[in-house]
Amino acid sequence: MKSFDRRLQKDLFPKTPAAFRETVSRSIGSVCGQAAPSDNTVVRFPTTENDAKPARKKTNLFTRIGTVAVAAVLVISLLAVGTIAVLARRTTTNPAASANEQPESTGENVVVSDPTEPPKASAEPETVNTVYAATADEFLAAIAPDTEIILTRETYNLTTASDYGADGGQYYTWKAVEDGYELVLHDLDNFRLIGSENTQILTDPRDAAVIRVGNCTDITFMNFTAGHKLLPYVLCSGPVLELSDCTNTRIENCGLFGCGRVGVSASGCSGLSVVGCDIYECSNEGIDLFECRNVVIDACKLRDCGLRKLSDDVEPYGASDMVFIGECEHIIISDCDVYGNKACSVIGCAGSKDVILYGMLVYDNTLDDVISIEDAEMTVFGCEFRHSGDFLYKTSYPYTILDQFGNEIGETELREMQLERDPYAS
Amino acid sequence: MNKARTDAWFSREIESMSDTLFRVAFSILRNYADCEDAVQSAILKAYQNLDTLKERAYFRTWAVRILKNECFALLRKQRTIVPLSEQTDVNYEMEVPDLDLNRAFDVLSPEERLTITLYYYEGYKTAEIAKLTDVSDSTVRNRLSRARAALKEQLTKRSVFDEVL
Repeated sequence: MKSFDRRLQKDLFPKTPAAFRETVSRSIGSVCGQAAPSDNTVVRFPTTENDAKPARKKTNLFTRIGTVAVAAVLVISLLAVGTIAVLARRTTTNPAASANEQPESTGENVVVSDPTEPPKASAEPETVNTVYAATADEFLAAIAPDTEIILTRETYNLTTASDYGADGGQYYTWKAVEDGYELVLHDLDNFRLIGSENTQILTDPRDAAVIRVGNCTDITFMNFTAGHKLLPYVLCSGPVLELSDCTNTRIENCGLFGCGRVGVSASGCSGLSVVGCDIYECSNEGIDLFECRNVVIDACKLRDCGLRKLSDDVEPYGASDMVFIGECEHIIISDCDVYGNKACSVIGCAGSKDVILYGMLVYDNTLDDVISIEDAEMTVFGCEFRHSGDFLYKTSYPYTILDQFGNEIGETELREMQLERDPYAS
Repeated sequence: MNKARTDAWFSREIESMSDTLFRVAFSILRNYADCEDAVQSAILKAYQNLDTLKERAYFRTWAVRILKNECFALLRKQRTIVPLSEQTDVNYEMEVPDLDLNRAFDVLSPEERLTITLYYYEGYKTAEIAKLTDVSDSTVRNRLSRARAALKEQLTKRSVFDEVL
């Protein structure tokens, strides 16, 4: 499953035949009487995202809860037959508290283990080396397992690193993209990157993820803002944070801004939590989860996405879904505010199960519909969707939307639903 | 801008998107010779209508749109003279990286194949694909989802079939 998209991206087409290229050259020659000129004779026009995009990979999200929380909600739903009022209250409590007894956002790396994975030895003391980094170079030099990096300055532009585009270090590399390089953290275990309120991590290339993380375990990103350096009339094709094949990742109190195509893009991840983050001005999606499990998105803002324009006289394209959930299971999205976006849907959910949505406040958006669902099962309760158009976009594929008691609901119930926030939310 | 400079720019842009042109045409037509015809025709049309392009930043999308139209025009023409079963026969003498995947790809409709190609290979967003192919964003997402499901189904069938054999 995980490799399907990659297989699709890599192996579908033969290499462009040389004869085809010759045909193109001949055609050009016949219409404008010359072959492609060399670089120094070409007038370069401003490029946009449309001009040079890398193949896009569907990706996704973050973690924390999972099966246990889902099971808890379902059990509570069954019990609720006779005691609706009491149990309704219980089901709207924080999933972490009600299901897993996990502590709230304390600044510690508390992530819920994937129930299918063996627990860590709790007696083993955790040794973390704390490093204070004042420059991008110091930050990069400190990347290592069992390390906590405290960013002490306001701005870290990764493009200015002295080894930018070079081989990198033992746990990071610079991956070439269309217009530069992106930072890739890999094979890290127990790593924390912590900023202050004003810390910004920036990168210049439009096609680069600001930070890409692959094959890592127990990673925490906290208290910083990250994005692509803003330029007028330019959309990015790279995400802000891209995670793939990671276990137990926590993104807390971060600002992830545009024009990153996606704020958080995660694929093949387990145990991801995105807590208290402000995701704004992204061009395509706020959060994109693909083939992820055990994910919690809690107390986040998703705002002002899909509004960037390529020129003054062109309407913004709009984003796709504010949160896309594809081929995932055990996903909880709770107590988030979604406003000021131009998008197709708030939630796009396909091929997924055990998706729970509660305490969501959705207002002042330009949307085609609120929930786009196909071949998926979703539980929705305690949400308020202030939207006058269609609520559901559905295909001929089967789908199920349930309330907290396990009753099937539809557009009418969604429209009449009222906000019920977790009183114990962080 | 004088003609020579415009020609130089046009040549450069078209050359730089050879791979894109090939993949878009091949995804729809699945036949190498037809791809050449469609691309030649598209390049000619693009050049002749360059004045109508308001913003050169959109050239690539615009060119892909022209090529897409040419491919579907060719496909429509073929449908009147070629048996349906032969329309999407890939010339597998070309070295394809994954034969099973390519055969599964044939099962999709041309519209689904184009959507998959634009999304996974060319990096277009669903909203952009919607504009480019004159359908709603929901339709694009629907096509993507359906196509993925169909491909998986085909690949599963093939692997089961291979095991039986």
